[in-house]
Amino acid sequence: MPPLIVWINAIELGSIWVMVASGLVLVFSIMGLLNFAHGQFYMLGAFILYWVYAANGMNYFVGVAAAAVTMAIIGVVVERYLMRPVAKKGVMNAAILTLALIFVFEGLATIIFGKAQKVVPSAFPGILRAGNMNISYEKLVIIGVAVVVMVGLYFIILRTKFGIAIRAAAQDPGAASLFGVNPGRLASIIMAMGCGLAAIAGSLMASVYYVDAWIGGTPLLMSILAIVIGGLGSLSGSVIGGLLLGVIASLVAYYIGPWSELVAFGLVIIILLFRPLGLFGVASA
Amino acid sequence: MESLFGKGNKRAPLFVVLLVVILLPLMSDDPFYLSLIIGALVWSVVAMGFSAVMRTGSFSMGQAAFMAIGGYTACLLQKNLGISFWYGLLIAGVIAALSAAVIGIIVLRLSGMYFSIITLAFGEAVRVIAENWLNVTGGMNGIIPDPPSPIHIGSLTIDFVSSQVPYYYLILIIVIIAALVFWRLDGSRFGRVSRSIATNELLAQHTGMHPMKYRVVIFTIAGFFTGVAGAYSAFYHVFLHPANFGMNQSIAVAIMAVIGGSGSPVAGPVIGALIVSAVGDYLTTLLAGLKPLVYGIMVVVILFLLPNGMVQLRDSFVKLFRGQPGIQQRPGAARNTR
Amino acid sequence: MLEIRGITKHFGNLFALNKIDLNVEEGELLGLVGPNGSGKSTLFNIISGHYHPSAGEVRYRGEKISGLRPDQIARKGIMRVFQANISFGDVTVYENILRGCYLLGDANLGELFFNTRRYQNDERKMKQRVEDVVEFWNLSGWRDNLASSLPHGLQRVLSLAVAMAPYPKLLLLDEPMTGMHPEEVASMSEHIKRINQQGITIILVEHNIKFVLSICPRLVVLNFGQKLADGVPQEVVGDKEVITAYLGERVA
Repeated sequence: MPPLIVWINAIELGSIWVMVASGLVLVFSIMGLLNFAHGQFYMLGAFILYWVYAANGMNYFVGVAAAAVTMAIIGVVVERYLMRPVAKKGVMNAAILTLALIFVFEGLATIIFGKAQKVVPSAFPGILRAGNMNISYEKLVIIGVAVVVMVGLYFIILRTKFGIAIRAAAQDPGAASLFGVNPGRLASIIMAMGCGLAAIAGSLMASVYYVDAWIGGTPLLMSILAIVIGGLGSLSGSVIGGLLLGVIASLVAYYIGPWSELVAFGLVIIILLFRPLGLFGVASA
Repeated sequence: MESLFGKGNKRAPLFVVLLVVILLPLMSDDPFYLSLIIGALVWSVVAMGFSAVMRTGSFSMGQAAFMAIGGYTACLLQKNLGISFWYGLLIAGVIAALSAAVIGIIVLRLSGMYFSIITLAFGEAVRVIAENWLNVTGGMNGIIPDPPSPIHIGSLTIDFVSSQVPYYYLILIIVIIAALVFWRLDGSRFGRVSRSIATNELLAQHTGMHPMKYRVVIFTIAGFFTGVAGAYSAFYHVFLHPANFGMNQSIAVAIMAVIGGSGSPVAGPVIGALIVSAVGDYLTTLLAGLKPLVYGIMVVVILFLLPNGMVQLRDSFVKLFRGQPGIQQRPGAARNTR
Repeated sequence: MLEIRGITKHFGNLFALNKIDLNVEEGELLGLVGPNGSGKSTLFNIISGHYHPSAGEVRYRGEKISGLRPDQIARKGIMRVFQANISFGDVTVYENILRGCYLLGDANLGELFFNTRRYQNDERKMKQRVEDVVEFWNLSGWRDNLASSLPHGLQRVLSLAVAMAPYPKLLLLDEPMTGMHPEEVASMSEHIKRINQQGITIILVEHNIKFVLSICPRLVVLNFGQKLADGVPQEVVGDKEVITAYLGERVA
């Protein structure tokens, strides 16, 4: 039985993946395709936190909020003016568009912030001593924020009329209008939520490692794997998938080292072979 | 039989292109341009494979993995078993094809989106293995292969050390072979079936077509050529490193095929590869950060202006050449029947 | 020709078909009717290979076909026309029919690649067949039009033409008349009769009861996945259970 700290790491990592994956699955359910640039919203969220908190000394949570709001707005612009018109000509074109956006955002980030890695000092230094364990406050904040955000998300999805519209639209895009919600606006709002989630995750992780234009790659891959494990159309699936990946990454890192990604891939392939729609997959509309 | 670049009496442009292509190395002294073209030709082979697979409805986001498999096979055969590059090139293709067959049989039964994701993951998995299997691949140190052994024709010796021109003709031959294969497949019943299973798999099945068979076959053939391209590339650059064949490259291949024109088996991938490689290499000389930005914006613009890919330009150009206005339709008539 | 023994199909707890037994003789024109949800399309799906039965088996000319893939079953001479308009919408009528001729080809992939004599013969044979089919179904005027641009009635005709292209022996027609004008219905029914007279066995699913009664010498009625009646139209129509199924308890 690995030490508790490994499990705490698992939950920390897992909560990040959960947020990113939930964001991705929301966008997927409304657009019918994977936004390959999703990782870039994570990356830009981290940069915004860096800029607000580390470079300009403002409050940490203001930074997180700013990251969420800014990337939500950018997400809406991208969805409305880029993805929607291109998607009319074919899903493949839209997918390639999101791939191209990876480069666009990478380039923008490099131009604005430079190539060098940025370090963000931890906003919550210090360690909590619980029993014979040391847990950094930083980890607790990350987990805490993630929990708050996810609970909020679930509340919206399950309890508001809006959330019902989202779930209906996931099954059938036309259904949104049945709930008196304009489908175009619904798509934009969902995109905003999805990108906002990625940005929050990125901003939280900014102080844990470092920030540069290329940190979006791993979250993209992990969130894709998470939602595939959970099932492409399923929000709860992405939560399970994200947590599962966090656990695997943490356990594998503890025992084996650099092969955690490989194990994750292997797991995904095995799951897909036995349950082609993922653990909780829904057949797409 | 339709020719590659237009019908019937338009074979003339095709011959001109061929002539230019064959005499290309004589046209410039600067090795930079030749290396650009060689790079583009390598990618055009991979893009042709991607494009053919795409036309059965499967978007493989991990083609670079087969390049890696081919590259490591050829290099390791030379380093560890002393097998010459010339055999290694073919064996690399075969091993890559076998891997593609195995992966394909397992994964091609999954629906499009899942297939793309798995191939993406597979691509990354291969890269991770290459980075970490130190005993075999040398990890991040990479492998430095010896140059291909010289070819002796009578009293003439072609060596691959003093100039890149032999490399150019070698990749040209590979490209031509690949082009013939993919073009033949696409224009025949195979292409017809591919398009059927991509458009409406249910109907295709009930018409007697076996989708998995066609998907696996084309995926395997694409794997073969992609492996060959990877092996060639490793020897041409005299350096094989895991980062050479990762997610970025797989993505670039997809972009090449789509902006070149997804409906076209040869011209589309070649044009797409030329544009992406040429622009990519050229942009590297610019300010950091500008390269991905300009590249990304360029792709976005092409997607907006030319949704059917760059071959749209070719088609318009050809029609113009023949005196017909652009791409227009007679009332009630359909687009080209394939 | 077709023996359906004890076919059961359930999806979770929902039984779409429950121990269906049915024999179809060679050359028959059999009508399969029943209210919505009675399992008609499910039965077709099982015969054509799209579903595997949960229990029971289907035999075609003595050979077990339940469990085979749809393309294998099509190769045996069983062709299916779907209820919805399913065609290759983005290509022409000509191309649709050409694709329908796939089974007429003998050459394998190798011969295809090297463009051997056998492959060329195949192509020639297929193209000739397309011309014949276009002629037979009066589609010459629409030959080069995209399948998706066809008016609804003609799309149904196209589906049937495509299914007939590879000389099937058994035809599963799923509601061929949906959405057709009376003239189109009359023309379609003529075609169906003519096809049957050529010796092709047809199982016809249709909502238009009057029509089915008029052309099918034998009817099978399904309801809730079970066979209610099987016999000549006069008997079936008078059957109490059938009337109940369609019109409700009180009327019977």
